[in-house]
Amino acid sequence: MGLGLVHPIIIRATGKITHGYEHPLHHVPTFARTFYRLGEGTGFMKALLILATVLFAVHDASLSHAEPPTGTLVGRILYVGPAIPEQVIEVTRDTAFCGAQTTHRAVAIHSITRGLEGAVVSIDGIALPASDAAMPPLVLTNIHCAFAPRIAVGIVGQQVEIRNDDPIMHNTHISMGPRTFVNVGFPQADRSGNPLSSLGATR
Amino acid sequence: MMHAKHLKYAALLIVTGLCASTAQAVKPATNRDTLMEGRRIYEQACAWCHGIGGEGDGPAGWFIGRYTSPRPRNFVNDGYKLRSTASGELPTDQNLFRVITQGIPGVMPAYRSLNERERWQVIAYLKSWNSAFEEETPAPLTFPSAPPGPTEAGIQHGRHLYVKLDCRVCHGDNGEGDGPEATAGHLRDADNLRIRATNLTDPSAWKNGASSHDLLRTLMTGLDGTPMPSYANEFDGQEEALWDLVWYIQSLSGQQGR
Repeated sequence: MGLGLVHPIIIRATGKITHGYEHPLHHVPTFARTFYRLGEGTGFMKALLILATVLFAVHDASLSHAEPPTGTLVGRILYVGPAIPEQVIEVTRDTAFCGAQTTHRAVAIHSITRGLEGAVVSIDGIALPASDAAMPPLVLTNIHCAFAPRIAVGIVGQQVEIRNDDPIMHNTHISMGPRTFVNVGFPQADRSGNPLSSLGATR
Repeated sequence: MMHAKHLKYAALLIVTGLCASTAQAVKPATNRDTLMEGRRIYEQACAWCHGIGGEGDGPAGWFIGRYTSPRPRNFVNDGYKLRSTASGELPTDQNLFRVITQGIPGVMPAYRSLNERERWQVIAYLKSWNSAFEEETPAPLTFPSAPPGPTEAGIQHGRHLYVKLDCRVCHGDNGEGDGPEATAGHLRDADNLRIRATNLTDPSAWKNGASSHDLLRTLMTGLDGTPMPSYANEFDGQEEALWDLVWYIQSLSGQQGR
């Protein structure tokens, strides 16, 4: 496997996101041609992800030669804007198990390093070789009345396995834009699988 | 004698040929002529609601109410509610044909006034807006055949499932569409418009049809773009239980077994 160069990540967002390269934050797999986002969210986060996708470009000519276009991208995405408070959400169902309220963080920021947790960087403009390697399913679990993980990356065709580890009924309703990716009802301790069918952000 | 036999074969060939040519005529190949004709029909019959560009923004939408659900289907990038395919999948051509033929109670008229060939032409045209139809091959789920009929024990079991699967949370204890999530206004569609839970005591308003098979299909596929999920996974290998739930839901309107 050849290693590509580290390219600058340029992110321009109204939330004052900056960038740095001191330490690895994410290993972005070469198969990361799509990303998707789970759980509750805001337009801000969506905008951030989209900008990160659009504005990162690879111009390394060596990638088109004998070496397969693979590599490791390292970097850190920092958030330097004002603190974004947690959102308190009233729970309307199964409050005996889930509680009357839950909190939601649209943006998770490390209190000391200001690193943005759960950022996803997608590389556009390069064609990656198809891989015959079987991919393990991407597992999305309903646990304690929330999705875990909140953000994950998968490839087109990869199976998404949805689980419910809670002792109550959950609906898992994931959308890709206006189109439903999946909307399934799960009694407790159950699972289902759907393949990712196209590129894009799913929430 | 031989002459009569030949005549019989000739008649058989003619009938077979007619059937074949009729089948061909009913669902035309998707080509430029089909799309052009589909467009002509669409712009006369469909564009008022669905918009000239298929984005669900036709002028009649203003009469329906801009912020009233359901909105006319956006053929460019929406998913589809009424399907025989798994949650998240596109509909089959037959699903689209069924909706155009039967309409949607309370929402969309039936277009039996169009002949079958015209309906297929419209389907070819509206599919041309969404490239996903070229990339994906929607396959219908396998639906279990119906048992002889509802039993009292089966209906009671269906009631148990109705509670276990949280149907009552939206549809209410007695199926009148007045569950706590519905009355609190928490139910939203893909456009984030507030929608009502279906009143299960009034089958005439069921958008996906009111027969037992229609109901079973709705439970299996869910209604994409709405809070109604698919329960196909839950009932995998438990066809009898699925029918029990169907019988119970139908019993709410006193029409089980139809």
